[in-house]
Parts: sequence; structure tokens; C-alpha cells
Amino acid sequence: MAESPTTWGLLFGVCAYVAGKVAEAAFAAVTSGIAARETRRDTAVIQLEKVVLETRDLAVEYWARPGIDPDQKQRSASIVARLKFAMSLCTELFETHDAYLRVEYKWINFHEACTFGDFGSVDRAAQPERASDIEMTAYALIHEVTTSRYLLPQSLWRRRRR
Amino acid sequence: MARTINIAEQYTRFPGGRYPQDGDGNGTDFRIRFLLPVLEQHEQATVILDGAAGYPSSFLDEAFAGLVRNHGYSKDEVLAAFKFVADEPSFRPFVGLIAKYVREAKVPEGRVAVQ
Repeated sequence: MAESPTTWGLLFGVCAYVAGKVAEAAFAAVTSGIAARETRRDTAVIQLEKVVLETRDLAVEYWARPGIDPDQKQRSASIVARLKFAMSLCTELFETHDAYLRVEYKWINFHEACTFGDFGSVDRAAQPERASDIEMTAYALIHEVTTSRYLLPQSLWRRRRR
Repeated sequence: MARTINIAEQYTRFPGGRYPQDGDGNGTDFRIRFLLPVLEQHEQATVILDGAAGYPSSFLDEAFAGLVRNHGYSKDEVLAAFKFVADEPSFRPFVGLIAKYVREAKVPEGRVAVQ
């Protein structure tokens, strides 16, 4: 039985409607995926800034006192663990992107400012002057992270680091 | 056969400090017990970095660059003797730090590298 032009028109209309709805749903999924990822990135940056500043405070306090001070063991353990966590956040954010090497470089500078020299030694004297290096490298890392965060690609397809 | 040194499993999850008086997990102790035998026996070792709570720069310097400073091995010998594994991405920067500390190690005047 041959369909009438009206039937074809109706069929076409239904197909167009369904296709439109599918496209709308796909677009919504893509945009909500992007929004969710951007929120995750923002949260990670805020968390990273917080842990870097906490580490800075601990490290400044650690170096302001001599190694024999009773709480130094706990302070040094907290510094090392926070530095490690900060690097985990850096890799989570930037591992597959061009910014990673710049962020890693700043993290290494901060790590060394906090833990090089006589870090962990019980018989060292207080070295409060190390605070300046710790402050500078902490803020340099935060600046690099916040700058690089906005250079991350927006597309759903992750760009590989060259 | 190359040795494997898993720092977290065989030594400590909490490395820290340079010298024995600094307590358990110090760099000198790790160097003498785990790293030095590899060089003395002309072997090679794979050092697994994963699993530790983190590595202070002072520990890494004392353990690895200490082989150059305290035992007279050349920088090339030390770098050739050890390969590093860091499966977890956040441990990878430590591989570069170790190489840097070995390269920057200052050999005490008058000391000749072990042949």
C-alpha cells in the first residue's frame, strides 16, 4: 500500500523531532561534562593553594626552631606528606598538558626550599633566614598553578603533552 | 641479575633525616645498607620509589650523592648503577631530583674515585 505525502511528511517530522532531541541531549551531556570537569579543576586548584600555604607555614616554623625542638619530628613528617600531596594534585591537574613541566619545576623549587640542607637533622641550629626562600617558592608555585589552570584546554579530548 | 630495592617495603615508608642520630629511616643508613653493596659488588639495582610518604631532599641527597661524597664513586658510576621506578606519577619528580643531587655532589679534595 502506497503511503500518502501526508504520511511521509509526518514521518519526516517525527524523525526530525527525535534527531533534534538526541542532539539536544548530546549537547547537554557534553556541556555538563565540561562544566563538571571545570569544577573539579577549580576545586583542585583551591585545595592545592591551601596545602601549599599550610606547608609554607609549617616549613617556616620548622626552620625557625632548632632541630632538637620536641615537635620537629612531627612538623617534618607533615611537611613531607603535604609536599607529596601537593604533587599529586599537580599531576592530577596538569599531567597530560604542556604546563606540567613548568608546574613540576616550581614544585621542585618549593620542595627543596622546604626540605634541603639539614632538614630532618636533630643537631642543626635554627635557620630562620630560610623563610624567604620558602615564601618565594610557595608563591611562585601558586602563581604558576593558577596561571596554568586557565591555559588548560576546554575540549573534551585531552591534549597530550609534547 | 639486577637487584630490586623497594624503599617503602624493604626500608621504610617514612624516609627522613641525613645521619644515624636523626633516627630511623635516615639517608646514611639507607646508603650503607642498600646502595653501597650494589656498587661494591659491581651490580646494578632497580630502586622502587613508590609507596613512601614522600622523600625529603636531604634524605635523597645524603643517600645517593653521599655515594660520591663519602665513598668516592664517580657520578657516572652511581647514575649507571641505579635505575628508578616511579609508577605513581607524583613520585616521578624524585627521579630527576636524585640525578640532580648526584650530578651536583662535590667530591672532597684529595679523594680519588673508587675504581
